[in-house]
Amino acid sequence: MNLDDIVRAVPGVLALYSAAPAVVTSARQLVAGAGDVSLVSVRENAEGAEIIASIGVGGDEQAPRIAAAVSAAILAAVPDGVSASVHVRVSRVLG
Amino acid sequence: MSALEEAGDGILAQRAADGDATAFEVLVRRHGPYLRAFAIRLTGSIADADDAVQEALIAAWRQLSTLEDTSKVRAWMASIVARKGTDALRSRRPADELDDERPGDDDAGPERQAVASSRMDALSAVLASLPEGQRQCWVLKEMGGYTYEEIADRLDLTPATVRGKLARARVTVVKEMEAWR
Amino acid sequence: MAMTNDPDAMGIGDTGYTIDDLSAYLDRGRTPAIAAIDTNAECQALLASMERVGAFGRELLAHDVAAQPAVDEGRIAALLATIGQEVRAGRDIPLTSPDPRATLSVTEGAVRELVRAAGDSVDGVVVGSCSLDGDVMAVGSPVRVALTISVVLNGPVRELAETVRQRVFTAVLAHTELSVEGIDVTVTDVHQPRRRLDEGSAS
Repeated sequence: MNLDDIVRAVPGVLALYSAAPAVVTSARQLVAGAGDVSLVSVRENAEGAEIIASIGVGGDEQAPRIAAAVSAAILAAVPDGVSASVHVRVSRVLG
Repeated sequence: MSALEEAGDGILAQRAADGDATAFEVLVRRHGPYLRAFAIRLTGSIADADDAVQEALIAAWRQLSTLEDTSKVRAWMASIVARKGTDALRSRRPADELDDERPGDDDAGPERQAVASSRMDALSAVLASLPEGQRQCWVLKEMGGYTYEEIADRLDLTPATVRGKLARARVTVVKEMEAWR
Repeated sequence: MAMTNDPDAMGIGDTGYTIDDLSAYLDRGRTPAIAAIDTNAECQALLASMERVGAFGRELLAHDVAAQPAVDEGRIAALLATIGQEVRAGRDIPLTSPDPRATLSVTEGAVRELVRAAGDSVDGVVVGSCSLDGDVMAVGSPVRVALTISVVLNGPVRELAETVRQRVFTAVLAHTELSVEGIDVTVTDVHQPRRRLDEGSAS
């Protein structure tokens, strides 16, 4: 499962948007993915991996709760021993 | 969307400036026909007009936050159309052309060899026969309501030149429309 | 005035004013008044003609507009694709994160969108612009929400504004951690509801 699928599977996430204009992908992906371009951006720097996800949530949910759930889901997918930081950004509240 | 269609231009432009593309779409549907008609008269070409309107709408979306009186969004969009429409014509022709001696090209109306069947047809034919620069000045002044300075700025001319072209255009139009008093 | 063979040398109606002058005089609104032009029959006739055909031009444009088909769907689709569906993002307004490795935020654009939706949900109200005033980047710092609305005038406007205020407050509370000090609702426009299909024809 790649990060895009993991994020989309979180209840309350209605949409996944491209996280960053310029996506730099590492040769060693954190989580193996099949797709061409992942919407969740993964960037590697000296501190480890920097993951950014831009989501849309439903109006009848609570954005803070869903954002927290998405960050937890992403962090759970990071292999042990790998240092990662996550930014979950709620870009739209739909319907 | 139906509730948005009830709303006035000002409120819609405010929403669009905040990023609501649906509100912008309502504005586009509401004023698109007017912008297109104006562009066709200005450029004398349906293809040029459609390009000008499309580019103008994209520019309008991006610059909406600069519009202070949002209730004037229609006239504001028309001024962007005027800019795009005259830019296109300028960029296609060399700067030192003598096109004022040639009639402008026009595929916006049918051929009018025979007597025009209506006053509107007659005026349409006269405008199509004007040299391009004169037509642009006349359309921008009489249909667009712009000042000599604004027209001069748009067409890269002096206000005095605009005055001259406008006067010559008016003489022609008055003469040709004599029969329709 | 020089003696020439040019028939225009004496100007329109021998006033000395040229067609350029008359055209500019017309566009100046005939002020300041020039007696030589105002009292000359030929000048007046020409000015009247120029004015009349100008009006024909505006009539022609109105005719053109009426004859225009509705905006082409393909062009609308292309336009919307170009301008994109992503709301203008603005700043990342912070949310508390349970995990030090995670940063959570909601964009200003998303907040504006939910404020619009909350206001729109009130019958007879269409929200215009929305702004957040205060230090939205400091969690817990007091913030005011300001929005403009257009209303249908069929009842007390104050009640409508109050309902809008309540719904906006609920929505902002649900989706942000902003400390909302107040919500300022300003009515800037009125609009008419669409006639429903089951109503009678216009009287």
